[in-house]
Amino acid sequence: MISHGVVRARSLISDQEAQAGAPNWCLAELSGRLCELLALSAATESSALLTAATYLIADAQRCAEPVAWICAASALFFPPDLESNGVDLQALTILRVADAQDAAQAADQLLRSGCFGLLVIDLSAVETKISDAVLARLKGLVRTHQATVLFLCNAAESDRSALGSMVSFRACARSRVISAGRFALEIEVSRDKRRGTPWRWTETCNGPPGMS
Amino acid sequence: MVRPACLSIVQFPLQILLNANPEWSSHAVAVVSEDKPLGIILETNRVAREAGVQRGMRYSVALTVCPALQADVVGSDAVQQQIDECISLLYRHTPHVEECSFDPGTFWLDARGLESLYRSVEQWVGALRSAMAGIGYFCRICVGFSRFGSYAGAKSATRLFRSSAQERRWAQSAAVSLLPFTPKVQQRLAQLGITTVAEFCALPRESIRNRFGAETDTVYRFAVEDDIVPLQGSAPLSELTSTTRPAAPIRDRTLLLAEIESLLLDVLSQTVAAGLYLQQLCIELTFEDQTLQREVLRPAAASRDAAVWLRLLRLRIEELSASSGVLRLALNAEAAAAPVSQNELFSAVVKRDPAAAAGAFARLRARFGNGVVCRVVLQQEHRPDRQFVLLPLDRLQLPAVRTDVNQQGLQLVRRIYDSASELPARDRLRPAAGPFIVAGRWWEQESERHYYYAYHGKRIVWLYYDSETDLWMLQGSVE
Repeated sequence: MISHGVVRARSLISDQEAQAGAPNWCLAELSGRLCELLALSAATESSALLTAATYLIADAQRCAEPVAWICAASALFFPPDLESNGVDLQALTILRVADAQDAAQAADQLLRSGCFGLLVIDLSAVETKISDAVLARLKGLVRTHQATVLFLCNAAESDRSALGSMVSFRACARSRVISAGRFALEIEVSRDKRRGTPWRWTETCNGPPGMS
Repeated sequence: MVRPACLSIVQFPLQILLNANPEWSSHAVAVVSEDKPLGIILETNRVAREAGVQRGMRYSVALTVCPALQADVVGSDAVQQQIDECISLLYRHTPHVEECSFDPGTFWLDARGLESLYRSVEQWVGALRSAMAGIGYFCRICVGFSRFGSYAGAKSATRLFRSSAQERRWAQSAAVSLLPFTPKVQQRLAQLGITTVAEFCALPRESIRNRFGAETDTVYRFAVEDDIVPLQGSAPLSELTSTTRPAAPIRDRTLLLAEIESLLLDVLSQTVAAGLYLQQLCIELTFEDQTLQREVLRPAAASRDAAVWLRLLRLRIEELSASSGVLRLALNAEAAAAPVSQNELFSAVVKRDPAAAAGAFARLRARFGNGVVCRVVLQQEHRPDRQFVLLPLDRLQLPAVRTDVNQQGLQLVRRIYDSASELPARDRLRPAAGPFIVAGRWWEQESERHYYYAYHGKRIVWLYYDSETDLWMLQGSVE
C-alpha cells in the first residue's frame, strides 16, 4: 500500500509540476513520455513536422540533453537549417534505418543506454507499424531514463493516430503564412494525458533562405 | 559545531499589547483570554503585579483588585503577524530562524560562523537585541548547544554557555516555572513539590499526557528527548491542511496509515501546485473519547518526496498507542520555498554518460550495419545536396551551448531527399519564390540549377530546374 502510494505520489508530483505553468512546446513538457507529432497528408495543410522537431531539439540541447534522430526514410532534414535554428549538429546522433520496426529497435537500444534525453523518430515516409508491446517497452524506458521519444508521422485526419493509445501526447504540427516570408508554426495538441485537455502552441517563424 | 541560540521575547503578548497602546505604558496592564468578566488573566506588567493582579485570576476579580487595570485580548492573528515581522528581521542576522511551536515569541537562531561578521558571539547577541528593541521588543538571548538548553537559558537571562555540560547542568537546575505552562499546570506541579526541570523530567512519561494534558506533554518531550534535528528555517511559511472524517471510527493501524497516506498525497499535491516544500507535518487525531492527539513529523530537510514522508509517517504510526477509534484525521503542513540547493537535489536533470552510448552504438552497428550511426558535417558547397555529408559516429558528443544562433528567430526547416526525383507534372504548382541559380562545378562540366519554392496546395515544395537535362526535379519540401 505504501509503495503504491509512493508511485502514485511521484507520478502526481511530476504531472503537477508539468501542469504548474502554461503549456509549452518544450522538452520539460514532454519529458518521460512517448509523443506523436502528426502531419496531415492532405494537401490542404502545410506540415511543420521538421520545424517543430527542430525547436524541440534545440531546447533539449540547451538543457544539455543528447539527442538522436532516427530516420526511416530516404530523406533527411536539411542540416544547414537545423544549424541556423541553434542545433549543435556535432552533438546530434543520426541513425538511418529501413523501416518503423528497425527504428523502434534502434530507439530501444539508445534508450537502454540511458544517454539520450530526446529521440526523434522520423516515420513520415514509411508505414507506421509498431506493435503495442514494443511501444509499451519504449514507454517504460522513457520513464526510467527521463527521456522523450517523439515520433514524426503522417495521418489522414487530424484526430487519427498513427501509433494508437500507447502514446501519451499527440499533436498536429502545421505552418501558416502570416505575411510575406513570415509564418506561424502551430502545434495543436489533441491528446495530453498529463493536462487532460487539448491545447495549442503558436510561434512565428521565418521562411527558409529565399522565402523570408 | 552546532550553536543554536534561543531568542525569547519576554511576555510577548503583553509587549504586543503595549506596542499597540503606548499610552498604557505607565498603567497597570494585563492580557486576558477573553474580554469578559470570566476571562483569565494571562500576562501582567509590573504595575499590575504590584497592585495585586496575578496570572490565572478572573478578569472581574482583577478589576476589583485594581480598578485602573487596562486589559485586552491579543488574538492569534496579531501574534502571528508580529512573529512574521520578527522572523523577517531576524533573517537579517542569521541564516536560519526556527519558530518555537508551543511558545509564541521564542525563536531558535543559527549562531554558527557569524564571528567574522560580528567579531564575537557577544557582539552578535548585542546586535540582535538592538534590532529587536528597534521594533519595540525586549528579549533575552541565550547561545547554547541544544534547543532545550538554550531555551531554558533564555527564559531567565541573556547568557552564553561555554560548554554543553555547563548548559546541561544549568538547564537541569532551572526552575520549572520558566517553562511555558498554564497557571493551572504550574499550580499542580507546585502542589506535587516539583520545582526544577530535573524533577519535572523525572516524572513518568506515560502519565504526563493523562495528568497534565497534551500541551504539557509537548513541553515534556521537548525537555527529555534528544535534540538531533537541525535548525530549520521557518519563513516564508504557508499552511496547508487536509482533513477527513472516516465513515466509521478507525481502530486498525493499517487502515489509519492508509487514510493518513491519502491525506498526505493531497497535501503534497498542494505543495507542488504552490511550488513549496514540506517542512513540518502535524497529524491531528481525534479519538472516540474526544481526546486529541498531535504528532509532529519533521524530516532532516524540507522535502516533497512522498517516500521520505511516508517512511517517517509509518515509523510514527507504529509507535502510536490508541485506546479508542479515530473519528477525525487532520494533516496540517508547514511548507516553505526550498533553497536553491534543494531544487537542485530533486532536479529532473539526469546525468547522461556519453561512454554508455558507445556500447549502444556498437550493438546498433552489429545489428544494422556499420554505417547506421552517423553525424552530419557541413561542407562549403553551393549545391544544397552537397552542403553536408554523413560520417560514421563512434562516440557521443555532448551538446555545446550555441552563441552564434540566428538572431532573427525560428526558421522553417527543409527536408532534402537523398536523390531528387523528377516532377511528374507542374500544373498544380504555384510559384512561391525563386529562381535561385546555383552553378555546378564548371571544371566537371556540371550545369546550372534553378532552385524554386512552390506551393502544392498549402504545402511548400522545394524544386529545381536542371538546364542540362531540361528536367524539373523535386529536391525536397519545407516542413
